[in-house]
Amino acid sequence: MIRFIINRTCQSFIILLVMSFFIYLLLGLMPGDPIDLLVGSDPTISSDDLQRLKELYDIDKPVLERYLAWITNAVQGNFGYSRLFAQPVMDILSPRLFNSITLMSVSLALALLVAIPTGIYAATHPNSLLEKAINFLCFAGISIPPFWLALLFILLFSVFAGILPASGMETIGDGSLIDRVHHMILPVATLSMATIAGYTRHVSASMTEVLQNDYIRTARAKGLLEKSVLWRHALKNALIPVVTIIALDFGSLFSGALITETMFSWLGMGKTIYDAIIASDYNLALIGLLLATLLTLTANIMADIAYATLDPRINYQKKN
Amino acid sequence: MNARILKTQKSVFFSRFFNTPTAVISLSFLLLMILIILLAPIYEHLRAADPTRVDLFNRFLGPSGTYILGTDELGRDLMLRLLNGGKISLSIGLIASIIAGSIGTVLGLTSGYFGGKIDSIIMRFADTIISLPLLPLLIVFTAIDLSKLGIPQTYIDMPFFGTFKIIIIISIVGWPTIARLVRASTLAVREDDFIQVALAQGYGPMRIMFKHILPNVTSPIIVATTLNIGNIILFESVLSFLGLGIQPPVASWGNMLTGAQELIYEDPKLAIWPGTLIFLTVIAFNFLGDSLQRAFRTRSIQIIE
Repeated sequence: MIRFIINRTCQSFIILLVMSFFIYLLLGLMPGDPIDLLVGSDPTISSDDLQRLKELYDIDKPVLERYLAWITNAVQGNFGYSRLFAQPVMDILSPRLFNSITLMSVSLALALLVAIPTGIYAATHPNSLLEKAINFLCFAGISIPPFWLALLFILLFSVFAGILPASGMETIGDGSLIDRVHHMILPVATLSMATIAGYTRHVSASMTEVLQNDYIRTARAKGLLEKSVLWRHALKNALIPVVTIIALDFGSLFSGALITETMFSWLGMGKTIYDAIIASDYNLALIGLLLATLLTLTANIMADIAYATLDPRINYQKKN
Repeated sequence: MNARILKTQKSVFFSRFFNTPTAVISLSFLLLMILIILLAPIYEHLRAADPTRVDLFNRFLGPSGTYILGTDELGRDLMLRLLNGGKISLSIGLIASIIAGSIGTVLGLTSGYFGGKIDSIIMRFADTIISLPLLPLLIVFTAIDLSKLGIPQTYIDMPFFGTFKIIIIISIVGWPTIARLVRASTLAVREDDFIQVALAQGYGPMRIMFKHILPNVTSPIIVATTLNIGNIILFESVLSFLGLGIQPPVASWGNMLTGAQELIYEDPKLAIWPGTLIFLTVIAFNFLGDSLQRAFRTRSIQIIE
């Protein structure tokens, strides 16, 4: 098991390294370069000075050389400054990372709280009216554009009813816990709505499959209460693939968070990456994207570990 | 004998498919929408109207005889813009899913047929793409300045270049799901006797892959491609909404919603119409894909019986 974890970590590290070069390359292909942005403040600059500036900041060097210089700095913990905020990149990203994780974990918890019972109900009452309704709602949930759902929420609760704030993380000058929770309701509702539908379908599919197993029939034949059969025998096994899918799906949860954060001006990682790309803040975008990749890869490793821990039949050593 | 089985399989498939209410409703809705969008130029011609014409004296109009759905913040006809936006959004969905489906099919067949190292490289690559946070990466892709890649500015300024760019970008990330499915089906088919016969006759891998295996893995490809269309339309709408996809004045359902958030207090209908159409189209494609899957599944049960 430990060997497997080390193995996976090394693989993820390689992916992260490849991604860092790839993203570095892509960001270099974005319009303009840092010097072009810099000289915007001095329109009278001569082209000779421009060339000297580019040489001073090594912009004229080949991309591989610049990348190696960048990564040498990054490995030493020197991640550079954000042009947009005029602050060290890490000072901006760490509170935002916290905000994103708060938003994502609350939404994830809420989504699971709804999806597990709903999925079980759908699996145990096939072809009932309620099951059909759940199935229909799941289709609606995976088909609705998340940013439009956010717009509808804003329209309903902020414009028409006027009971919930349409954006921001707190009222300026207030910032109490209640105020913060108040601001969290719509973003959390949007992000969890987008995920509940998918999770319910996974739970329901997995549960349906597990319920066809012989040991479920045995448990029922022993005269166990249906409740005990479902929650103790079936659910335990049905959740194994669900945990994996959810952890592997972390990338799309992050994408959903990006949309939600942008819609509600929630100061998280997703919104920061988007703002940085739009404003050509290369350094901030680069580190933001790499942090997002790192988060996703970590979630994927955790999925594998959870899979092995939950299901004693899985033995990664034998497989290799 | 063979032909007769095939015929009954087909008729079972069609009767199952057309007996599902959601399938029939979704298919009719989509066909109707495509028909309306195709007929839109005639409507434009009759009204002598232009979807990009700005009319600042007639902003935020409600529905009327001239403007069936009213006008937007620049006084443009909302109905005409919805029809034109639909043309763009649907074409992107269809074309990108066909491209992604083709890439996925070729890679999936290769992966499943050859196995070994080729298989593990392709699948590792597909898994990595699936697990990455795609939206932020797509945003970077759309923000790339293509002139830095040596593409001449005259091409970039061409009216359909933006649409073309989005189709390519979305296809790059759309293929892995198809590749995985095709690979799984290929693995199952590869062990069949008729493949052994083909091998014994000395056919090359190309011929076996495309002439013998491909016809037997079409149903999962059709299902996955249909489901992919919905996802791709969603992706396009998100990118265009964020201002990175289809650029105005060309309308797409996504970019019609870009301004709607600021104007939501002023004119909610601008937020409601394009979103409703995206939602209905995507859900129709998802129901269609699901019904196809069920109909194909009953077909395979029939074969066993």
